[in-house]
Amino acid sequence: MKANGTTKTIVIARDFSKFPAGRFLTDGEASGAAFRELLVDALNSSEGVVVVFDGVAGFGSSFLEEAFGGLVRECHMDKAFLDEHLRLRTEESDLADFVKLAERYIEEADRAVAR
Amino acid sequence: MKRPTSDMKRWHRIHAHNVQLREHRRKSRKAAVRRLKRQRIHVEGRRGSFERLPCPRHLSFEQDYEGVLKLIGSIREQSSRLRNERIYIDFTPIRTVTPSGALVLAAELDRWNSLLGKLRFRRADTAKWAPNVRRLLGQMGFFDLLNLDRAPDLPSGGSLYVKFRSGTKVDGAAVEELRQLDLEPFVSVPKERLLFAAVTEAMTNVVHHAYQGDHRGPEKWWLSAAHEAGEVVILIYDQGTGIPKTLPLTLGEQMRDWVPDSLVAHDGKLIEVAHQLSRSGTGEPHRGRGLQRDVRRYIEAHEGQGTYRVISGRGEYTVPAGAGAEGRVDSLPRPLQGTLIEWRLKLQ
Repeated sequence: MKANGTTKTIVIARDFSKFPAGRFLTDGEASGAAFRELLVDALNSSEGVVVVFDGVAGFGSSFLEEAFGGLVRECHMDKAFLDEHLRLRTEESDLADFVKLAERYIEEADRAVAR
Repeated sequence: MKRPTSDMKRWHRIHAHNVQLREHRRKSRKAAVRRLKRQRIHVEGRRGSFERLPCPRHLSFEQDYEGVLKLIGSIREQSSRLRNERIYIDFTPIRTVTPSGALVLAAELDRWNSLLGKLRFRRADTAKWAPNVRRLLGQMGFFDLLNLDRAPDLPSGGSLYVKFRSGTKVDGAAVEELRQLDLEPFVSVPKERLLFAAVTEAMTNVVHHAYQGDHRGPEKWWLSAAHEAGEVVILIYDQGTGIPKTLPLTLGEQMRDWVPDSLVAHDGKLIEVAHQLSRSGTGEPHRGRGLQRDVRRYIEAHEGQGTYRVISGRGEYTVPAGAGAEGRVDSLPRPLQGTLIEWRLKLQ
């Protein structure tokens, strides 16, 4: 992420929902696809985006895969671009695994698209 | 005596036949009335008669699986009749009831209410219910389902039964409310973020996969929880097609339709297979991970005794708590309509 560019911070619990769940828009208001729309807007309008996981109730795989894997699969942003422009953060130890899982979904989607 | 003419003989034959016919009809009518009397309870006043459906002595999958499913089947059959009749579910025979048995019955009554309306139930005689049964069913929301005004008994004796919630979308707030508002004042649930992931992922599976083809009734999930005898139980149920029928099958698994169950994978085995990675009804490689990564994982991460159990179709899949524990699959005598998932944790 460029140090001198404009950076947006999205705190999921504050800016989206404390209870993110589901994959598609039809699953509910706090779905992974709905969060991805927010994320894509932020990525398109700034040099970098920091996503803060703190304060949420938890994450299901469907939400994380659709929100982060979907950036590669649906929005055609490759891993190299996301490595440069997107950071996932948490201060809470029991959310650290969810951050790793989100990063893993980006990698898996990147590999699947490359194939 | 005058000899009868052929006309008289014919008249006598017809008369005798008519008498016989009348007698036969009278007897048939009496038998039908006797049959109806055996099945129905007549309620004094303007409400008329109701079909009586007696509950089993044990409303419990563990103690009387077939009895619970027979009751559910009877309610389902009544709701699908062209001229739907009113029913009286007799709860008085119940002596033991478990949260899973109660949730499946609650879902069936909720379905009935959605399709036919509450007024078709006869008001239940709650005073005649066994006290433990009244407490559990009352707390789980049966008073609302049966249109009863009386407030449910308060938690006592260290047991707590959470009023069921239901929905058609993935509702993370409902999961958090169940934990924070209903369970936390009485008992602390460990690893709450993994629980959230497990239950919301189970809901996502219901919304995406459970209801396929023709389905009469609401396409819902039903969620509840309980705290009894030092254990916390969290339950989610749907009335969909069931995991074994929605799983994309390999050639070997497809053979189960041709070969006896004992020789090939049965429904329990198919539920276990569904917990492997990337086996989703959609066939998309990035989907189908929730059962393993989230739903079962909650019990794997539990540092104590407990079980994870799935009943779907004719299969049952049970996994004890702890990482890497071996699961067990079983065949059931009757298919459950839908899928029941239960997380049971023994608290330290």
